[in-house]
Amino acid sequence: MTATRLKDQQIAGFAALAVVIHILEASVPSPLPGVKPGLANVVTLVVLFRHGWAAAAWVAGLRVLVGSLLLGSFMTPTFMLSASGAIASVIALGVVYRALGLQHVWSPGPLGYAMVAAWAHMAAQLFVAWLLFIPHDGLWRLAPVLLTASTVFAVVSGWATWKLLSWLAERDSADRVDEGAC
Amino acid sequence: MALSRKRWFVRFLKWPDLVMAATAVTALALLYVSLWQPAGQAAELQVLVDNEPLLSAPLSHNQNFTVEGALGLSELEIRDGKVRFVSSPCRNQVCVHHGWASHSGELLACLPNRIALVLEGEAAVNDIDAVNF
Repeated sequence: MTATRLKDQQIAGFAALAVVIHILEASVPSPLPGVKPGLANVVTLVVLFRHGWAAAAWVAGLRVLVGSLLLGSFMTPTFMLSASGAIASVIALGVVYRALGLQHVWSPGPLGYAMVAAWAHMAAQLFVAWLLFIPHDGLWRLAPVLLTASTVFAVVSGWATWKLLSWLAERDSADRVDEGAC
Repeated sequence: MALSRKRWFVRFLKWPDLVMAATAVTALALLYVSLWQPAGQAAELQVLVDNEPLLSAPLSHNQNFTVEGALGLSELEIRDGKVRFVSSPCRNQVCVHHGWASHSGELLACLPNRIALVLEGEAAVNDIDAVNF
């Protein structure tokens, strides 16, 4: 149960990576408002799996803050939605992380965590949008469509996370062999 | 609690993942079923002026009448379970061009004249479409 403590620099590095993905993604037009792949969340998930929840929360928070500053959307409705989604998904990840962990038989893998994060993200965004911007019950009719998108993209980012984790694990063991050889 | 390097990448889909994915798909299906009921035929028209209910009328009874809004008189027509703005003193005439409305939950509005027409049915109370301009 020893947490791999990330140095601040490493957290900043992961956050910077997430910010880059965040901004690249923001420049890709979406067919439906509110739908985007959320690939930046892959970084959060990788950090969650390798360095624990606290580090993942930092990376997610920094990504939203710095991303919005760079995109010029800080404190705009876009930012409110982005931030509420990130906060909700970090909390949801934390709850599942606490309850189910990573390495028990009953622990979900990348796909399960991606699903939790995506649903929490979308649900919170819808709720905040309804609360602050469009206080009309008709908004909830969008929920099935948006959550379908969430589910599909959760599978995509879950798979990407899994691929990255496998690749990183191979590299780790390769590194260890190198050290041994020295 | 970081991960010991070996175990998670053995398989992509562990059973908790499958349970979660199945839950998500089931929840989606339930959401579609519960939120995407087709709109029914409206039975009654409610007229709001300045967000205050002014009058309501059954859609079964064909009639023309006028309602006084912020700018002046808007003429409404009820015919065969449908309602429309016939004329309105507003500039853009969006309300007139919107044409007929007949589904419960539908909304017709003349914003400049502060008049909104809400269609209500017996069956669906909360059955309101999203409004998009």
